[in-house]
Amino acid sequence: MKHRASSTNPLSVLYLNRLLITLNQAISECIKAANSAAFKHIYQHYSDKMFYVCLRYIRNESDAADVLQDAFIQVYHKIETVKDPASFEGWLRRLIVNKCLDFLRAKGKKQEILSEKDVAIEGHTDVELDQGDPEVLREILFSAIQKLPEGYRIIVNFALVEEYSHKEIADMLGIKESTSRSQLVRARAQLKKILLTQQDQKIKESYYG
Amino acid sequence: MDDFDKILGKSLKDGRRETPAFVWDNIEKEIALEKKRRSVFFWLFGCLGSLVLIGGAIAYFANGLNSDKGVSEQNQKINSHEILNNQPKINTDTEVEDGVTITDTSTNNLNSTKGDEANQFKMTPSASIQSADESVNNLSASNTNTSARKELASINQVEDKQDSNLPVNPRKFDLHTDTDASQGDINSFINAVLSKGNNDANKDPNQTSSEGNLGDGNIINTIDSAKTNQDVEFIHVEKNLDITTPVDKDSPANNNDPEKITKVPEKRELSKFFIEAKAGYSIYKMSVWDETFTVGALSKRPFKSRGYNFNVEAGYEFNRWLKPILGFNYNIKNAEFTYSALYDDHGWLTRNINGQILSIDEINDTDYLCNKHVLTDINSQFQITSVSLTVGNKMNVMQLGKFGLDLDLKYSLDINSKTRLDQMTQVDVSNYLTTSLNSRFVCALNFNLIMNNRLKLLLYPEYIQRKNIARRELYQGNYHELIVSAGLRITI
Repeated sequence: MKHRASSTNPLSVLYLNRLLITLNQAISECIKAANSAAFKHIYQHYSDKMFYVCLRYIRNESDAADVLQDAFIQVYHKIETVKDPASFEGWLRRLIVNKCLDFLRAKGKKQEILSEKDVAIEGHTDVELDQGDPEVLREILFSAIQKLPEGYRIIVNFALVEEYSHKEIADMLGIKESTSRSQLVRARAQLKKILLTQQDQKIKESYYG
Repeated sequence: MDDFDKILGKSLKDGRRETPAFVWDNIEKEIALEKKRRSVFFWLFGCLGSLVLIGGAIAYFANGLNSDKGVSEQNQKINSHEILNNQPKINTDTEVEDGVTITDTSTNNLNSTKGDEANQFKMTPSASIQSADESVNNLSASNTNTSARKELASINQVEDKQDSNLPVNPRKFDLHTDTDASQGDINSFINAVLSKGNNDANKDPNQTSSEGNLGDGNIINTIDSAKTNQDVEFIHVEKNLDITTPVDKDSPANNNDPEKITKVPEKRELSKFFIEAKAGYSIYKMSVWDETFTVGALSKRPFKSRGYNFNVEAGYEFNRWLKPILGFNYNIKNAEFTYSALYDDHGWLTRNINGQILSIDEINDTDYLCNKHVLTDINSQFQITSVSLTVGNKMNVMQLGKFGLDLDLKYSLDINSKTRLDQMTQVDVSNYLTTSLNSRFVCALNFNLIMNNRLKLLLYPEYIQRKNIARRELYQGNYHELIVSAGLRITI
């Protein structure tokens, strides 16, 4: 159906150009000067993604929301320091991760990272991940990560999801690189164990109804 | 990194989880609060800065006026009481403005004299007493005695040193020797000083200090330097000087020409440069926005705006019609405008479905309006700030007493202008799409061609101007339209 506008229909001559902004324009606008409308645009684009990041580190949803809120307020004030709009997402993610880490530090959770008592490596555990439905897989992995102790969750997130090097992790957490490596091995083993347990449970559920 | 790590990283990296709504509400509140705090500081410092500027300008001009006023008052005093009445009564109970007490340093003994013995020399750079200068000059012209000059020069040196209020070994001038001081004529007095200076030139300063007394010693001293005959600038009278005897105009000692004496020295000229600082509130409700935002009749939709303007200008006054000015202008205002826009179903404003800018014709010819994109009104609030350089001319078109009217013609060039989008809210316009009671003015020409007795071929250009009666609708505006039709008329 075509809406053929005639000159008697002023609706047809309305057009907005400058306000129809893209995400990149919004970021650029915000970098130039704090702009709440453009910032809302940015928030709405990234908030869900970043909330998920927060939840990967902080199990409690309410705490994660608080951290996200603080992080975005900081983003609003510091966005002018972003040099290139193209690198904005990386910058934002890093800021969110740091905020999460600060939160955990404030709660004293970081100490867990340094303790090596949690899990003893029980041989080589292997787990097969069903890659059929990415959403299902994501949910399985997310729930497994949520079950990890705080320290292991941080190291798994840092090393495997954010892909920080062991040196970066060591710097961020104030630990040795070797500690970071060993913690990752333990965390991975623990995670696989959790996943195996989940799979077993699932098989049992499907078998026994 | 094995497969497990890769799968895990890839899966978890791009996950999403719906954010609770209160998060944005809290962020928005915090940002608004922050803005409020910033604006308070901005206005506080802005107002303080303006006050300082205005205060500085007032102080500058006030000082100029006061100096001028002081000169005028002195002149008036001299003219009215001393000269015109031929009764040179100098009321020395009043402190002479800008007076600088000085001493005769020719003794080189600045601290050797007690205060009660000291006859302080007060010198005033006031031009008011320059009325006496003429006589001094006359005297100097006839009296070429160099010692008098030395006397004056030495006084002048003291003035240069600005070493005021130090009672120093005074030089007393016996005016009786040369003139009748009891006559109290200031010119005689000056004459006496010069003559005395002449006599004292070779005397020991300490000796001279015990000599000259003018009657009861009330008269102290006078006079500025006289490096040349024309250089006499100052004459000064100390407190208690009361010379009340009328002046004998015919006295040979008083060879002053009253006309010369009454000649008022020129006013101390104020600089012709001026500075102007202004701060104001701006408000307007009608404006034509950039066509980028709206086109056609709706480009004339009104929008509200209010803000503040600060302006500082400096200028030079050649005459009342020519006062070139140069300055800076800072303008900050909040503008509120309602636009119509394409709004897609994701809730984000985009250029078009492909992210490209559409021309008006394309919009008219496509189904964007009725399909995926919905036409809505967006209420937008902007903050517009600009800093501009201003050049122009100020003309004084009318001056009635103290009240004047200036006409400023200026050209302003934006150095930096910024439009910040503060807020956008969507307005539901569905209630406004049906209108009624619109009126039109039509003017048409009817060209026709007779084909036969029943048929006529028509060419019909018509011009339509539409005026709104019902003003409630958002979209309907005044517009102009030209329709060219072709037709056929059949006579039955």
